[in-house]
Amino acid sequence: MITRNYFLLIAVLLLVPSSANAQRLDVVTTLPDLAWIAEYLGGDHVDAFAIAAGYQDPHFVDPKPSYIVRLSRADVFILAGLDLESGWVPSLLNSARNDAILRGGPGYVDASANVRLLEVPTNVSREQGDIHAYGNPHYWLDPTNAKFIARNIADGLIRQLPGQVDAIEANLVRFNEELDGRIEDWQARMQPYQGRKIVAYHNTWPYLEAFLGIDIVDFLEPKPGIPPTPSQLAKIIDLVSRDGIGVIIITPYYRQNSAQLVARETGSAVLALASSVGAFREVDTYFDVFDYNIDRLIDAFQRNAP
Amino acid sequence: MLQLFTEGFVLNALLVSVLMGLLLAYLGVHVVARGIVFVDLALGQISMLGVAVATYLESSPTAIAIVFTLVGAFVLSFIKVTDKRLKQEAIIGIVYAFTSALTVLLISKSAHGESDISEVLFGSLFTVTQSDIMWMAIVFAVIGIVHVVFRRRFFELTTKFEEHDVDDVGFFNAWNFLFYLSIGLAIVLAVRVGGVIPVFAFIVVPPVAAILLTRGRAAVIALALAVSVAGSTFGLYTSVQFDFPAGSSIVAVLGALFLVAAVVRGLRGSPALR
Repeated sequence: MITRNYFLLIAVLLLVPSSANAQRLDVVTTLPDLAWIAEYLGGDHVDAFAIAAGYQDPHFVDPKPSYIVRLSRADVFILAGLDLESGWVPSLLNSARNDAILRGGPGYVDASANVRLLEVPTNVSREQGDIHAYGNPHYWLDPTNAKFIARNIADGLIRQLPGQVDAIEANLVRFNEELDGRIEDWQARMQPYQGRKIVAYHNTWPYLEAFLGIDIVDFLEPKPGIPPTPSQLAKIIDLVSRDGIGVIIITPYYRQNSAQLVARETGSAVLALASSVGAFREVDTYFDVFDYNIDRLIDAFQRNAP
Repeated sequence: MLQLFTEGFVLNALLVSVLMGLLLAYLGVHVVARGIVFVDLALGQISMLGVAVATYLESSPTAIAIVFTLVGAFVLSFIKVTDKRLKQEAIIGIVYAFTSALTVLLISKSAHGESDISEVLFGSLFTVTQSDIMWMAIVFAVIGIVHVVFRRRFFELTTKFEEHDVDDVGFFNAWNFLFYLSIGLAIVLAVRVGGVIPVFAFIVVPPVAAILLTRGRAAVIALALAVSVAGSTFGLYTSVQFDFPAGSSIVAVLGALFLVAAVVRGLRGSPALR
């Protein structure tokens, strides 16, 4: 009797479908924000690695051989999509030769499905600079889009780890609850600063701008991707002085000289803001991105009262 | 577009460029005569490697850059290639490529690596600060004064190199050391603001253009200084007029001035270029 039950137990255990790495899913993502959300949703069942660091420009990542190795072993691959990573992801995926994570495969997750897009162009040409044909791809900077991102990631995790569907769905509920609570707080904090004008280096921020209710009036780049030219510098210096704009925002992966020049000439302040988890040492979670940015913006707005 | 010349940052760029260009063109007369043109290109890159190392170690960029440049100058000036199949130029070329690659490797570890590299090569003249300009003015004035006061000594030494009469120039010749010290310091301060290529262009193009057009040391110096100022002003004018970056515009204009000098020389029909 005992022997028969014992064998039955072994047989059942052997029959339990295992994904590539038993109970822990190997998840590789492009952005650290996606990795953080994947680990939130998957808990102990997910091991996520982000290829791009939070302080790097996600458009340009050096494809290192170690990334190809990781991708070849991955169960799930999550990207932001909208051609943000089109400069480096396709060749990495080709070299990795892992069918599960190719587009259309069960492990491929495009986090942008169903998000609310901004700046979808009606016509596209190179003379507009380096623009994205499907819309501005920095959509994770509007936290209201995070529920769609999380849903997309949860779907991918569940496809590859169906045994954990309940745990993942429960974590998703928890994520959405925490997200909603924080969104309320953030919006309340930014209430007094609606319509405040600022200048940005690159067009990284339309989603953050929309969510926070601030107004980015111009950029140091004359067109997306083109470094500041003398005439654009003169134009911005003039604009900032005339309109009393107190703040210039920039991501950590651009040099600050041009922004510092404008600040020196006009008395405004340069603020390096986080565009991703890991942009700065204090930005460890997706929620930290907004806490960090809002803290610094409010501080700058209070010091530069109009 | 010309009203952009009333903008503070454009005037600062012009001031720095002229200041830098004048001293570099003067030192360039020595550099071209001694035939150490590529040594100075390599030195410029070595200096930027020093800055990259300092940034990586989070310590003082100028101090480390100076150390790197002086060690580099010392090593480069004493390279003696005895194998007939190799010229010194090959070694200098390798040093340039190697230090460039090391600089890129170090920079790749920093957040804004991409934009750093274009600044290493072509500088960032429009964003120069008052403090940068002040330091450069002070140090360049000192170097300039030393060179003017001791011009006879320096030119004696340079003539010896020019005529390959260097047997009695000892290993530790004080004037030679002082010469390399002055070039090293000038390069270190100039490349931080101007970039490796424009600094190189200021050292090489004005003296060469002057040599193509005139004879006699005094005339060559005067013409070199004039070409240098022309390069700075027309270069910045081009940059502002056509919305191009400053450093590469200046190099392009210097190149054009060289071509003009070459054509004029060719038209005069004298044998120097053949």
